[in-house]
Amino acid sequence: MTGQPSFDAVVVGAGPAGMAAATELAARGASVLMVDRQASPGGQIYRGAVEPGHDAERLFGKSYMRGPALIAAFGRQSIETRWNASAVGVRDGFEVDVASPDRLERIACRILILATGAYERPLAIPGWTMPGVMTAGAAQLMAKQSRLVPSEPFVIAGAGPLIWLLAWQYAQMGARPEALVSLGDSKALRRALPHAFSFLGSDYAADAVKYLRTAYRSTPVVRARRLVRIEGDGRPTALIAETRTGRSVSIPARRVFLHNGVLPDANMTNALGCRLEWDEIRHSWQPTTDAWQRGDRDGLYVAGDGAGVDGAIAAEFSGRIAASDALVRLGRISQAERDTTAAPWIAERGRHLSGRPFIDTLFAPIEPSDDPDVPICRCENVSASRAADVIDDARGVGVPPGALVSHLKAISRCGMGPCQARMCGPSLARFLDTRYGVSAADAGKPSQRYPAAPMQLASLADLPLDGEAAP
Amino acid sequence: MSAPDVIVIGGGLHGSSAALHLAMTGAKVTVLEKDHAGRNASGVNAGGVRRLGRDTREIPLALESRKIWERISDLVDDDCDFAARGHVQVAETEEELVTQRKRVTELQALGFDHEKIVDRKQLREIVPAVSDHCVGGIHVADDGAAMPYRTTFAFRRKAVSIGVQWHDGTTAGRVTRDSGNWNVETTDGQTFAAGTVVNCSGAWSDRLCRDLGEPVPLTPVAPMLMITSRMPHFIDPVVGAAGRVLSFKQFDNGTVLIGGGLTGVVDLARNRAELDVGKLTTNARSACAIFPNMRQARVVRAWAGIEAEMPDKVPVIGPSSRHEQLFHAFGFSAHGFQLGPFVGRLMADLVENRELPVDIAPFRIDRFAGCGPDGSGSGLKLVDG
Repeated sequence: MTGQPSFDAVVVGAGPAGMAAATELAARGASVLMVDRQASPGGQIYRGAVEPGHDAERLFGKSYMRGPALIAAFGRQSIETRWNASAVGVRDGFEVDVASPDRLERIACRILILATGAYERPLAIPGWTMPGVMTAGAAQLMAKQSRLVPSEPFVIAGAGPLIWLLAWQYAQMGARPEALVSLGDSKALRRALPHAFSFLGSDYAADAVKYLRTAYRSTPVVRARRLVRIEGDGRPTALIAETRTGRSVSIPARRVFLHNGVLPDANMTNALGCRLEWDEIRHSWQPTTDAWQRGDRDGLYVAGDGAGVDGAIAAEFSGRIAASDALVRLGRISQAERDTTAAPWIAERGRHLSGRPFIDTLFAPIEPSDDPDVPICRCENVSASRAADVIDDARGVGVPPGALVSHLKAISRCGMGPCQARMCGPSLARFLDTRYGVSAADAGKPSQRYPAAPMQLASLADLPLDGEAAP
Repeated sequence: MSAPDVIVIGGGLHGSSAALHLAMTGAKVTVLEKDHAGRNASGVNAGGVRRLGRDTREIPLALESRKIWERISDLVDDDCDFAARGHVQVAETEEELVTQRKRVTELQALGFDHEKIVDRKQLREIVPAVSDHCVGGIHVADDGAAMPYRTTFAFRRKAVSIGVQWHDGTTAGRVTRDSGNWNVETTDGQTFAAGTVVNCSGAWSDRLCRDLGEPVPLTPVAPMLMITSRMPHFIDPVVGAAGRVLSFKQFDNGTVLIGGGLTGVVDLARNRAELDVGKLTTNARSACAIFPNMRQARVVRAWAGIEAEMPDKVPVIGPSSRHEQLFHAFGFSAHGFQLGPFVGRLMADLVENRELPVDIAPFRIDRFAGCGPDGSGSGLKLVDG
């Protein structure tokens, strides 16, 4: 295309990995475009950290304060930015389609760094689509962004370290849940024990002790086997859980914050046709990367949680490591310089990875609800029983396991909504596995279509084509 | 399992339909499908059940197929979500309308009266949201649309329920003839034998033809489609345009399908079709030009499926020109979905050597005889995909 805007590197995602990568690239003179869905840098983990406020460290913990420092360093570089924008498409070469609210741009780059982070795995239980129910991560973002805490009785429930962190953060802000419902089976700890030693040596251990202690001191903790349902009158009135001893408990609450771990946002790598591998322990699809965070295309890097959820600090170092290798590719530093520069980062990343196997094993995602009426696909309102009917029919006719996901999509519209199976994909994978014995690896990943996020038809129509003047 | 009478290569709509109709007459049928039913053209097309705008050679087939669509549940136990809400081809200029009038007059002379001219006012009664500049069009009131994947699967399901043996993930390779029997070797090392072979392998059909000494100038193409998020209901019929590549339809759930045949990039080796995003812009402009309200729509998803196109834009249907008991049905790009139910029946008639209800001479494979694989020498121009 004539007059196509071009950059040495496009970085997608302004969380720790993306900010660190963009900063390192720009510091060595590379031209960089940063694209992020939010209005300002920080990503999900450092949301609100542009102006953190005097109380941020007390409320959100010491690790949160890495955010303002990263953002400041990012801001000191000359980096072109597109805020409130999505990379909706990417093609080999690279050519990236960036959709801002009012226009679409088609941008060329030699280096593409995908730092798209992670998102929360949905916890589909009866009542989960009711207003007043949201993910624990969404509740945490409201706290970080606007210091918002629930004004009505609330409960935090699910599996994963985030529920403990959120309980601690709420406690710092003076908000106490009616209960913290921790899901998981009693054997998880035993399975995780072999990884305990390396966990205790990691930075996570001290934080974990702090969060657990606070949670147990300030909040009734319910160890539960499963969440039965959310009762409500249009909004939640109570969460019903089944304890590990098989007892049913009802926790009155007007707000319910659910959590079931986080997943790499692998949409862009999937759209590029890159190889994704199913991780049995983390129950997620992960793009394949090497020690330099290189993806399976020349010039492609996948850094941070988008390459596998390793946490914010590991993400930051993986972004720097990716940038150092990209700078060699751009001819801006030598391989020897890269090795020297990146050595301490590689060591730091390794230190922060050491605690993950314990956490990943301990907080395995919980089994999907066996209630037939639970909507698996929220966009298209497809229930578990409807999905089962369609799959039973398909299996009866002999549709092979690898075609079931696309069959279900075409027949029931499960996964056809605007989220393109980002939300229902993980639930469906668990559903096929537990109900039919079809592993996620055999079922395959739902296909990712262009655009990765919905965009205005007008933006597509107004994009200048070859030989046309830009508007 | 005893040897089949017929092997159908390709489990798309035409293959499923042929298998079903053959099995209904008592034949033992085996289907070999390299992916799964509806993986490509049959599953991802726009779902138009359309007679409007067809090549005159195809109209008799389309009329017959329309009769089957009317009672599609009787055939496959599934309504395929078929609904006849009409098709309209919009004229944006007086010149286009003159050309349309000429076509409709010509069709009437041939005895076909399904296409009607509508004027500016009638057009707005049928399609109130149409842009002010549109002057009229052609209307077929009882054309319609159905769900393509669901339809293809319904044919497969019915075929399997009456005994058709179906093999997914089974790619036909070398095909040889030996003392009155066909042997089909698959790439995973199996061999299937039968007296008759029916080739319905879509964009992959030309390989078999070439191997058996009757090369055809088939081009794999990948028509693109995109769909929007839900919009308030504003249109009933499927809309095309005389001067643009456009097919436009709103579903019951409010989403709008925009297609028409602009093509992406085919990657046959990887069995993938990539979008040509530049052409999506052209398609978006067309939709917004005919329906100004579409500027507010949000595109949710775009895709392309691999189809087979012949240089003269009509399919190959009929017996092999070189071999006994070999029959072909392929090359339907952008106009095969509506024909599938009837062409399957035709294939059964051909295999069973029954009298045919329509003339299929225009679709014979040897119309390309003597041409190179690119169509050179056929007197036909190969259209750039």
